[in-house]
Amino acid sequence: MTRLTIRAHGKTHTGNVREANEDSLLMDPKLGLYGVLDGMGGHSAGDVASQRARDAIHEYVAARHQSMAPRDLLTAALNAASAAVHSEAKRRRDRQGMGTTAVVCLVIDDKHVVIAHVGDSRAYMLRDRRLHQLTEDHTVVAELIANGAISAEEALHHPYKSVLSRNLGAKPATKVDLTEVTLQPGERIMLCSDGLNGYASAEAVEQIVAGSEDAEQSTVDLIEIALRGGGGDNVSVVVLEAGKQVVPRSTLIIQTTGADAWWRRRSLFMGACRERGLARSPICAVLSPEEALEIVAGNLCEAIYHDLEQNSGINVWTYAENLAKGWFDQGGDFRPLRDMLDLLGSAAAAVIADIASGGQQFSVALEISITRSLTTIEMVVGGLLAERLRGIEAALVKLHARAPTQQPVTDHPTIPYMQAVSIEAPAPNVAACIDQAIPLALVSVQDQGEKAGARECLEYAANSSFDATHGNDAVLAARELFGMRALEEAGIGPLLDAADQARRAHIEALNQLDHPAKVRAGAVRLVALAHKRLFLAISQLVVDAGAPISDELHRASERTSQLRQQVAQGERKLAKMEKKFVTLVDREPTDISGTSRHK
Amino acid sequence: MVGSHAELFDSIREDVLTRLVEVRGSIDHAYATVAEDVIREQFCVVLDKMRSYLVTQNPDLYRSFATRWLAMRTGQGFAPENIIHSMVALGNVVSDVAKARFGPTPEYFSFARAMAHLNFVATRMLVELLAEEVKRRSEQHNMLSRKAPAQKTLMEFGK
Repeated sequence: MTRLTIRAHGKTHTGNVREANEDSLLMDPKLGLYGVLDGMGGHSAGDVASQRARDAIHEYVAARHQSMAPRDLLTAALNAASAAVHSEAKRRRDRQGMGTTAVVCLVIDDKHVVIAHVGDSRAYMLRDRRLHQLTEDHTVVAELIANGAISAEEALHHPYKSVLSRNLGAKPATKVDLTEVTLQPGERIMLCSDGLNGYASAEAVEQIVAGSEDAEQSTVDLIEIALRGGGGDNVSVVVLEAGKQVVPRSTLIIQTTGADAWWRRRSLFMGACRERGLARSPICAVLSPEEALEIVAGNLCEAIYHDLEQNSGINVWTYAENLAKGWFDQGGDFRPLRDMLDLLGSAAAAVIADIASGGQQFSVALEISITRSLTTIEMVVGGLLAERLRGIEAALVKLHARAPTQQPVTDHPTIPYMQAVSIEAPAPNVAACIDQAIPLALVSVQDQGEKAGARECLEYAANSSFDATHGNDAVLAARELFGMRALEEAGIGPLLDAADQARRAHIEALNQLDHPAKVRAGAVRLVALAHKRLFLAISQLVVDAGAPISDELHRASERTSQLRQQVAQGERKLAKMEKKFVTLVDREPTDISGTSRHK
Repeated sequence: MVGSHAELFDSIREDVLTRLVEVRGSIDHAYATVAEDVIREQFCVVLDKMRSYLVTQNPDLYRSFATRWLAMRTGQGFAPENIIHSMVALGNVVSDVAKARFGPTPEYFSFARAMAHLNFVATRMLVELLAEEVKRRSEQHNMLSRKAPAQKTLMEFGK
């Protein structure tokens, strides 16, 4: 058996919830034997079961791999493991019922592997950048689905969805499913416990396995994503990689020569930053020019170098966070930061231009990586701005809430004029004054161009001013006036104009009368109060009239949502038109005068 | 070269769309809950805009799209940083599909460079829009902070 070009990496983690790790990994590169086992059973029996089964499988394969065919070998090995666990469970009362899943991969040669499995630990294969599941779970629910007893949707909430129909340990021997796979260079096999597929989406897993250029790194990332998804179970992963180095040559260039080439031009980058006036940026105000260069430009240069070397973005991300957060925390604006980033980008472009003389493809690949680094910085700044925006919005909400908190409206009568209002009857001379003022006020109103409703306002105010029984009639008067000019027809403005005209004419008329100042003052006070009550009553009616409008607003809001969807469709149409336009431009280049070159 | 970028983009467009729909949950968790036909339509809009930019290199055209995209997504409850991240992820998926299709050829590198620049431009636009919003809100906050002590409560108007 030759298995020189198959490499494997495995990782296991207890997860965020469980106290013990009941998973076990089987990793033997010499035998080409790899596996994931997920133990079950109380009182620490789960880890015993998975370890016992792992050891039994390993011993069996090690002893017989040269004398048995791979498929028979794995079937027998898993049955031997089942017998070992079963025997242990029978021997000790506290381990009764323990068992384990197993998904085991045996490398036959540099192309072929056999996978054996029992339980719900899975095997996947990466082919054409797609992840294909090679195994079917041995669960009660899976069998019910296979028999057509329940649907896949019902299975999601089935009480037995986690109950295994097969495992190693329940019986001395069990049925083992086998899959044989032929691998092409670059293809991968992934074995995992249900702690991965239960807590990470299939798309995310696929993206990691397909997208990671380093199989070992992919195991780290897979564990990480399961933990971020909740990590409710132990999680274990083994990734096997077939054939030659799958990292594309272009990436290798960037990771080695690219990083070196960049670092060798550190002084060029620093010089370009100096020439462009980095030290004059307000962000560097407290630094000497040399410190500014070293801290801002030097650190970025180093961060880019490390990211190129490690094919990651974490160093630039950290750099950007320190730079931008520090600036924003000081209350700094976006504009100086943007200018600074443009400056750094321009200096990086100068370095790329210099490297371009060393080979077109190489410099282009490096340019792509550095542009991505600059994009990373933008993303960091965007995140910090979003955080800042949320802070301001929260402060705005507090600001709006401040006034009602200081003086709760509910502590006061909501409609003061609806309270019983006691109005003292005016003294006879004051009453006479009010009485005499009305005709003058009417004349004045007519002279000014009587507004509809002004006469009625005057009438109400006069009555209310010297007749105590009219004290609570402001609402009735307002309703009559309001009825004359329904809001939806003319709006409230003309009515308030009329009320204002009546009030001014009324006061002016009182001041024209030849009464002692004290009498006129008494009359003005009563008349002004009457007009004020009328205004308030009208205002309240406006508020009441607005109530149905608020329902209308709700409906309008729904309509807005519908319109938003229509806008999305419109966007699509617009994009199509632009696409057409662009295609035309693309195919028919025109000169400045707009005439086609082909004509 | 600009023309060939558009041609290359067109040749992988369907694969990109399929891939985007497949991995939409990884681009943004919220996309996972969106119906396939709906998200396909939304991705189509983005792809059209990307293609337009590759041909015209006109940032203004792209800016108006970025403005509407940010407004629409924010209105749907997406956090601004997630909108930026997902926009970058969309561009990366295009590059990944091109890489898988064409391998490390000069055409791929040229295209990937254009896509990297597009991603940078798109990110910068979204960040600038966000910065403008922060500025507007800050001014609003400062104005309200000054006014707040002088404001009368509703009940005080009736006294």
